[in-house]
Amino acid sequence: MSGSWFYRNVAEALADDALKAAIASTSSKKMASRAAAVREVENFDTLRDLAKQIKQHTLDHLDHYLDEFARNVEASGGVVHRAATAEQANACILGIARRNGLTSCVKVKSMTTEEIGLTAALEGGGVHTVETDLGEFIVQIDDDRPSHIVTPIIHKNRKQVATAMVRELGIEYTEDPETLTMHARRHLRGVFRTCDMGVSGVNFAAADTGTICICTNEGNGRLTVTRPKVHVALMGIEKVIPRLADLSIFLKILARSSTGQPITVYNSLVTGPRRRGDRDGPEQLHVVLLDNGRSRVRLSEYREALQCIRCGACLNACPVYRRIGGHAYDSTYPGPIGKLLAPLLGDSSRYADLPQASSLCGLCKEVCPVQIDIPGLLVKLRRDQVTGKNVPLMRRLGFRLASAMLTWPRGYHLGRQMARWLSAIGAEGEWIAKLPPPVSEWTKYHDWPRPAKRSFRSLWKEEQLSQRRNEK
Amino acid sequence: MSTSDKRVVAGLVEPDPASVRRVQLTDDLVAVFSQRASAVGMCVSRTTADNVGAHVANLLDTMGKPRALLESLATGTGALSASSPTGSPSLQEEKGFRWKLLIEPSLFCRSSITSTLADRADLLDAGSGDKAMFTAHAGITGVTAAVAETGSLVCSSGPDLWRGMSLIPPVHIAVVRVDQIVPDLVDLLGGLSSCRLPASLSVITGPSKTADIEGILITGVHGPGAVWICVVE
Amino acid sequence: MSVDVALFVTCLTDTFHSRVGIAVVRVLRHFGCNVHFPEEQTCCGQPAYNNGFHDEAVVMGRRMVDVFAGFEHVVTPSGSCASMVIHHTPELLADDAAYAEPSRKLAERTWEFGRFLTEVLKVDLASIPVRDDRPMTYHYSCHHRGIMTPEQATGMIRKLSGVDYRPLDNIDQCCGFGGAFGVIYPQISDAMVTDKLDCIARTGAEVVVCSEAGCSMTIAGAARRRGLSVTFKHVAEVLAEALGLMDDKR
Repeated sequence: MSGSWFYRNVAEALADDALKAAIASTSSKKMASRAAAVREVENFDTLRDLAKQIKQHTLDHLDHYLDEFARNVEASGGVVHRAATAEQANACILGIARRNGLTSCVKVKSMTTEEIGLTAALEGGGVHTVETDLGEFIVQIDDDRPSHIVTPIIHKNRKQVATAMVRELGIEYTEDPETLTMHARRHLRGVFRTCDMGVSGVNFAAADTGTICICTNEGNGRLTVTRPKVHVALMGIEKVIPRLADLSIFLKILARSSTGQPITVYNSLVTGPRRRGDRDGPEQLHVVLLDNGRSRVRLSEYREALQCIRCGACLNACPVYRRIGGHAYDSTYPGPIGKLLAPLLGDSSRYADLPQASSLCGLCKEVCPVQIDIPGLLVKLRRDQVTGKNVPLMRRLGFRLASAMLTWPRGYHLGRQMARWLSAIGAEGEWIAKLPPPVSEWTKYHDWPRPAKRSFRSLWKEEQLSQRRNEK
Repeated sequence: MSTSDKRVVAGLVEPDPASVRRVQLTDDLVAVFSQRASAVGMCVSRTTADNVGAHVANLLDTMGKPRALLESLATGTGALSASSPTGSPSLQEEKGFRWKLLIEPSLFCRSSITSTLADRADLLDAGSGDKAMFTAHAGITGVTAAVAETGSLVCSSGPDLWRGMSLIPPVHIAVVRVDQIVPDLVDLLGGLSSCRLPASLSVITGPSKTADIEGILITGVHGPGAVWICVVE
Repeated sequence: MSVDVALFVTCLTDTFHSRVGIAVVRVLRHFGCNVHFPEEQTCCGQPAYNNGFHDEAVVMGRRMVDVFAGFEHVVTPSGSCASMVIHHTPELLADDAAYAEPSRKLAERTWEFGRFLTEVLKVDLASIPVRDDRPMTYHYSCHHRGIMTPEQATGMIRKLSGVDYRPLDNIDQCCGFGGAFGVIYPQISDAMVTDKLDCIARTGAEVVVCSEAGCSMTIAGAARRRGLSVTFKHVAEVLAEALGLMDDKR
């Protein structure tokens, strides 16, 4: 809606050529990689279908599986905490740090920790926290926010990365990505040697064995869950799956959808803390089960949104995301899935633009590995906005009037006729080139055709007559 | 399991492994594993049980030093691909260089490796602490299993094992026995469900990677930059 | 034996692209269909549905069911309207005692024009020599998803004998119309249609075949503003011209 914060963000993003170039080329590459990776798997659609069924079944019986998961985590020596809200989760994790005298935390990239603002809460509580995923590390040292759920600095180019690293690490200026990466590696190795707390997210949590699976590529994920003496894993409650065996299906579709890799480089399956005889590994494992609005969504007609496995394919596909980037959404989760999660888990009034800012092209649904009907859910959100009167009055009146006219033949014909007459305003021949305010925005960017001089119906009558003549 | 538990589980789809798997039990598992592991940037070579020591020694001699290793030796940059040793400076060209190695204590071929390398490598003691782990050039480990479908290594925690050995040194050398290769992820994860899982099980598929900066692929970020796999018949 | 077809012309085609409607009628008749036009038809309710005005969409959906009751086949030149009737109207009327079943039956009998030609009438496109010899490209509309793959949709033109077909880059990317979206977020819509025009310009095509009125209007309007000279035709028009049922549109 013009004048809203979203509208301003969009204008700013569209004017940023560097942003557009960065996102457009990376998104196309990832879509092409995904397509190639999917082609390699003959039964990909079967796998998607199974994944969807498993997720739906799990959501139907979520409490059962969460209970089973918790029992099995505890049986292997881990501790399970339940957090109804972001605040509770932060307090819980800070509490774990305090009780154990932990002051230095390393983190693996996790959108769930972004969702609750964990780093700020830890820092505020005196726990120095370092992001170790290369992209998130750059985000942290540059006081920025991630703009994609898988590739956080898709909006940054190498110059910007170099500038941040020179400033914060004092390295010699270079734009060579390999050299920059090696500097980050060297710096973070020092941190890994001394940290005492590791925080990760969870990609999948198997209820039957109490195992959590963390899917990463760089190695910081494994270091984070190995080096520190306490490992805290934060998971949204929707991450649980019934059986470890189900993981094979999800691992076959996750990375292919996300980056086009057959599988991520590292899949860390963690079942409890270290055992007697293990030479390394954390002494404590804490799993924090986060609700933060998920139960509410689960009981609503939007529950499908909780099937999401955070692959990011919908972001790579979305024509809107490609042009405005992730920051414009001002939400932990941007892109198509973000258009659902932001209003559903957060403030739906604040995010009123998001369900509207879509052409419903459906490419997201086509690439979603768990077959979430994103356009269908966006339409439902729009319906809720209408019934909740969260849509501008003029638009509501306009649609109601137009619908009333278009439903019945008399109104339909009158409407058509009026459209033809009114279209003469601002017309150049058979085109509407310039409309006056308050609808001047409509013709700001391109022309519209005028309704045809003769409607199909009037041509039909002639067509019938000539048909009959020909038959004679 | 209670009656209601049984009812819940009964509603869950039972995927037919035949419809999920991509590699059959009857496929040439060594060939598929080698091809897929190479495709993701690991270097695969084959040897026999009585030749492992000499084989590993040969790898260390001829594979050269991966970039991450060079970086830690501060002798300059120059990307070296672990899977194409030609053109990279070999050990012979670097006078006086001695590999610093960590070897899994219970590795079946440990003694044959240590005896063959006595003259050119220093064996570090992982038990002596972090210094050894963080200064080693290469970690030589066995595996719990390997997966042909994805070309993956599976390394577990366990008595007398260090998770860090396949993670911290810049080179990871994995010794895989042919009978440890399973066809598909379906077999790995289905099989694991029925055992008591270790505290940590890492499915490793390639050298450490990132593409965070402008989508450009870089290896050896935090984990090993080179993974050399010896398949032992 | 003649096939009975009721034409669902759609409000956009009726109003803006009336020639397309005639082309559809002539092509269907050419291939042996007995074409009816239920004059009481108005709008299927898609704009109301897409924008969340579901009470209104239900009323329009019920009317569609009533107007098209009793016809063996319902054919429409719009993929988006076909989708509405096939997928969304039955969902909207699922709990309506009187209309649930009839709406499902209507869904089963409703066809998008191109799919009807290839799957029901089994038209052999390769036997039709194209009349317009200018280079042609095809814009795959988002609403063909679920109806035809890009391969099948572009095949409607590609397979014609003698066609100078130019494939479009980034064919799966939306043109930016999106109904009200193009008006509420015109800047995003404009960024999308600009990229679409870049792809079209790169093909060197002089004709853009587009079987969706909303897309046509948007891309054509943007092309005109940009000074890009291309002619837009619906598949039905290309076929009608090729079969000698209509004069060439330039």
